[in-house]
Order: sequence, then C-alpha cells, then structure tokens
Amino acid sequence: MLEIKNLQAKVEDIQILNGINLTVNPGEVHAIMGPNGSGKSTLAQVLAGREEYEVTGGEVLYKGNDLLELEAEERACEGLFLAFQYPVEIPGVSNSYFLKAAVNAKRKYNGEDEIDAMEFLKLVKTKMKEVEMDEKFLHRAVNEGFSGGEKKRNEVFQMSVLEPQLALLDETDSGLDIDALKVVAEGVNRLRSPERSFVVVTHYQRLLDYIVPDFVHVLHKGKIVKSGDKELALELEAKGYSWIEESVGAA
Amino acid sequence: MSDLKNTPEIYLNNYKELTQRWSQNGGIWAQPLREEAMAKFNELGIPTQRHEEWKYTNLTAFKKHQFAPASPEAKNSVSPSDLAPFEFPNLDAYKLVFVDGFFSNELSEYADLEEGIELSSLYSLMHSQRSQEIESQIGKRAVFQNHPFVAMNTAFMSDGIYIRISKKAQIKKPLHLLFVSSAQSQDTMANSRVLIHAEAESKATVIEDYVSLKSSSTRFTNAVGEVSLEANAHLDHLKITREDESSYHIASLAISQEQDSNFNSHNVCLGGRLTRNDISAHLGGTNIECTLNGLVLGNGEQLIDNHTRIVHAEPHCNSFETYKNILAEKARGVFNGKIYVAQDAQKTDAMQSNQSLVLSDDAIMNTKPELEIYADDVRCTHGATIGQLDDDALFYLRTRGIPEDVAQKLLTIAFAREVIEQLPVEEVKETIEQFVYKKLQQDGAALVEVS
Repeated sequence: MLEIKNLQAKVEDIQILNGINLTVNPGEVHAIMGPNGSGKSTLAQVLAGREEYEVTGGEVLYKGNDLLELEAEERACEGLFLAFQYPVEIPGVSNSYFLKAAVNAKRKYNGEDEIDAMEFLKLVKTKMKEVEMDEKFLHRAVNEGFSGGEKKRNEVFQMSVLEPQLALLDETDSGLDIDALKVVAEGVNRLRSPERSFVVVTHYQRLLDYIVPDFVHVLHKGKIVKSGDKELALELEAKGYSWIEESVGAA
Repeated sequence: MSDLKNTPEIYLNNYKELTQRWSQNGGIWAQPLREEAMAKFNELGIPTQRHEEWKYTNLTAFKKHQFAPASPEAKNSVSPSDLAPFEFPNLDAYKLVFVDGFFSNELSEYADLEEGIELSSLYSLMHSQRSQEIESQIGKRAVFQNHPFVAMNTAFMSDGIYIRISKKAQIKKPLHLLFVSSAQSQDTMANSRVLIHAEAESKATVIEDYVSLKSSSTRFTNAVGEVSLEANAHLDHLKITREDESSYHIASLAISQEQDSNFNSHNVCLGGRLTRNDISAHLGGTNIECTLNGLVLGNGEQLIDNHTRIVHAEPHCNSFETYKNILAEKARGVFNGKIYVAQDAQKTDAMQSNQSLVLSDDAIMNTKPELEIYADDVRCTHGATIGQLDDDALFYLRTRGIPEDVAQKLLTIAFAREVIEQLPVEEVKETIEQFVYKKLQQDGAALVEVS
C-alpha cells in the first residue's frame, strides 16, 4: 500500500524529516508516536501533498506508484485521506456542498457519473448517525464555529463518506474528551478492513486503547528510532519520551 | 452663459437643443433647476484625478466619447424578448422597464398593484403643472453643488420614476426597476432619476437593475436616486449593475432617514467598464438603522469605485457597512467609506468593514476608511483587509479531491456569499450567485454544479 524510503523533507530551510523508512501493507494500522517537533505532522502533510514542504530526498510509493509526483487532489482521488490536526474553517461553503463536491470530484476522476442528490443525502445521513453528528451540521459552513470535538468528528465523518484506501490521522485525538474519543475511534474501527490501511499519528497512547494498532513507531528528530507492536506504546506511556531520547543518545 | 467653458462642446449644444424641446412640451417648472445645474456642471467640469474624490478613477477614456442624450423613441426598438435574458427566475415582482432612462409602459408589467404604491413617471410629472410634492423631493437630497455628474443629471434628466409608498402600507412584492441601455449607432447617455418616498411605517423593497443590450456603441448611464424615509419606514434597496464591458455607469444615491426608520442598501457591482457609485445616507433622527452593503466583482480591465458616506446627526443610531471586492485580471477597485458622527450623535454605533480579495498580480485595490467623530460616547469600528485566498483552506479542499481551480472558485464564491446571503430578495440570490460563478469561469475551468 505505502512504502516510504529514506524520506527527507524541509520547510523554510529547516530540515525536519531525516530519512524515514516505513512500509504499510493493506489492512494494517500503524501508529506513529513521538514528542512535539519530532516531525509527525510534517510526515502527514508531506504525504498529503502540501507544497510548502519540500522533499529533499528519498521516495514514496503508493500502490506501487510515485506518490510525490501527484498533486494533492490526485492523491485524494487515488484514495488517500488526511484527517487534519487542525481542520480548516471555510466560511461560506456548507458542509454538504463541500462534501458533494468532494464525492463528485472523486467520481469524475474515476470516470463515474455524479452522485444522485437523493443517494447522496441518504449516504451522508447514515454516516452522520454513525459519528453521532447532528444533521444540522450539513447546512453549516465547513468547520466554522465548530468546537474542537465537532471538528474532529467532522473529519471522521468525511473519511467515512469518502472511504479512502489509506487514511492518515494526524493527532485526531487531541482536544477530545473521552466520549468524543470513543466515537471517533469507533468511526475508524468501523472502516477497518483487509483492503484499507491507517497511519495514526498521535502524541498520547490513550487513542491506541481504542484504535488498536498492528505496529507502533517512534519518531525522533525526523527519523523512526524504534518500532514495535502495541506494547511499545504502553512502554512509552509508562517511561515517557525521555526514555527514547536516552536510549537513542546511548546508541 | 458666456462662462460655459469647462464643458465639452457637445454637452452644451445638446443641452440647448433639449431645452427647446422641453419648453415645447410644457416642461417649464424644472427649467430654473436645470439652468442652475448646467451652470454648476460647467463650473465643475468632468473631474480629473487631481480631485481627491476621483483620485483613483481615471476618466480620460470616458472624456474621449461624445455621448449624445438618449432619445425617448429608443424604447420602440426594444421588444420583451430582448429582456428575457435579464429575468430573475421565479421572481414575482412589479416590473418597471426603462429604456435609456425613459419609462416604457409597454414593456412594464405591474398589473394589480398593491394598495399603497403610487407610481408616476418623472417625464409626466415634469411636463405637468408644478407640484409641491415632487418639488420637495427632487434635487433636495442628491445635491449637485459639489458633484459634477449629479449636476449633469439634474440638467439633463428627462425621465425616471417617482415612487411613493403610503403611510403604513406593507408592500409584499418587490418593485423591479429594469434600466436597459439599448443598441444605438452612436455613443449615448441616459440620465435617469429614481425618487422614492417611503411614508411613515411603510415597508417596501426596490430593485434597481442596470443592464445593456448588445451594441457596438458605448453607453453611459448617469443615474441619480433620492430616497426619503419617514418615521418607522423600512426600505430594502437592492442595486445591481450588470452592463456590458464597454459601458460607463456613474451613479449617486442619496438617502435621508427620519427617526426609527430602517434602510438597507445592497449594492452589487458586476458589469461595466467603469462603475462609480456615491451612496450617501443622512441619519436625521434617533433610533435609526442604516445598512450599506456591497459586492464588487471585477475582471478584465474593469474599474469599480464605491464611495459611501453615512452621517450620524442624532443620538442612538446604528449603521452597518460591509463591502467586499473580488478583483481578478487587471481589474481595479476603489472603496472610500466615510462615517461622520456629529457632536449631538451620542451613543452612535457604527461598524464598517471592507474586505478585498485580489486574485492576480495586475489587479489593484485602493481602500480608504474615513471616520470623522465629534461625539465622545460612541462606538465606531472599521476594518479593511486586502488579501489572497487562504492557502490552508485551498489545501484542505484539495486533500478532499477537489481540483485547485475549482477550489479557488469555491472559496471566491464563499467570500462573496456573506453579502449575497443578506440580499433581501430570495429569488435574486441564486441568479447573482450564478452570475458570479459564470464570471469566475470565464478563464475556462469547469466547475462543480451549484447546489
């Protein structure tokens, strides 16, 4: 599904990613943990196609093709989805209009007809119920005036409508109370399938109680310094990130 | 009249000719007003950029045209089918059509007029016996002493309409005034005037809509509006300019409000080569509300200049002003918003905002808020921003599969929507939004369907 080889990237002349290697197979859930400033969000943004981040070395293969060659919108149409750490407010564009444009853009890319209005409505209403979002959010402007939790729910809602093949979740747990966290995690778990992969970026272990990962990687100074299974996350939680710094420093 | 020297020859000659024609048709009582205005027009001349009020609006190209006064016969050349493209689907309104400024009863549709609306063509009023009522309305608000084009309009005004909404009348259907520039072989000008008198406790909606038929000549519309609201009257005024890309449109709208009245202006500027609006509201009582909103969409080499002025003369009044400009290609936009708060106008609450989206390197926006405050217990806020589309929002849309060009248009429309959503007539919103879409689409990119 995804093969990252020695990926290096910088933003505004500051080198942030220093050679990331990561392979994600279909159906797998990978958690990427790390202290603030370790490069977690940069990795997510680079994979999604943010132009402000300049790739200075390495390569990324997605479904066997060069991902970095594709525009952000092409990546999305190819089934990549990024749930934002800070979802953007877009005044003047309603959630339903935005989502319909997204669904139809993807359909057009795949040579399909536009979605029927009734079919679309049925789809979004079902998915909204799943993430316990009130239907009134359909008519509100995208993320405008949403609480932190509502914004994150909206990301998971979009993800469930767009049904990506590879979903990147960038600190989707931050700012969520435990109930919202459960709803978001259930939304993700509902989508888990042998064909779909997830890369879950998080600072804290608690999300991983609900979204149980197959692999956990620790990012430090733009490199993956430790990989393991879900036990690694618990160990990190217990010992703190200083443990990593010490062990990396000692190595 | 030997001192008539600033005015281009053609306007002088045409004025003399018209004076004879008017006198033959019994248009006597307005003549002293015209004479005074013509003298003033000549004294002021067509402004140059040395005039502070015209600093960013270059009229050099305008001056090269010799605009002949429109003829009342032009309306015979226009058929209802010519007007079909300018219909607002599903809009149920009283339609009053003016061709080159002259009222056409044949093209208008205003059967079953609700009780409480009185309509008179200005031509008929000016060519009948003098009436105190009309004389108390005309030239009293749109003063020509310091505005050459108001002076020109006053000298040349040939027709237009007087609308009176009688006391307590709550008019349900909007009045749709459609001003059509006809196809002419020579460059022509239309000097029209709209007078609206909203009596106490009345409520009405007026749409002033300026369009042009396809023509090889250049058209100049010089429009003046004078609006008076008595106590507790409510008037929604929507003005749309959507003339072709060679047209000139210069207009003044002067409003006077009495206590407890509510006036809402929505000024939508979409077409024309050069558009200039001077909107001036005088809040002459307590507890008045006045809203001046505007939406400007310019591309090509369009210039759109909006000058607004709100005078708070009495205490406890609120004014709200939101002007949004979208400028693409080589378009230029000007916004000058003046708020004057007199010493007596305590507890004034005035809000002004001017936001501009400049979409190309060659587009230019000049904005100037001007606050003049003599009272000490007031709240006046103003803000002006000029910028590009939000990169974060663009990226967010693209990560959902929406192509960049479509995302740009979506965000541009969204920017305009704040003003569109506040338009007082539901059926007009959709058409305006479609118009904005089409205009943004001129560079060829396909768009998603509007829901």
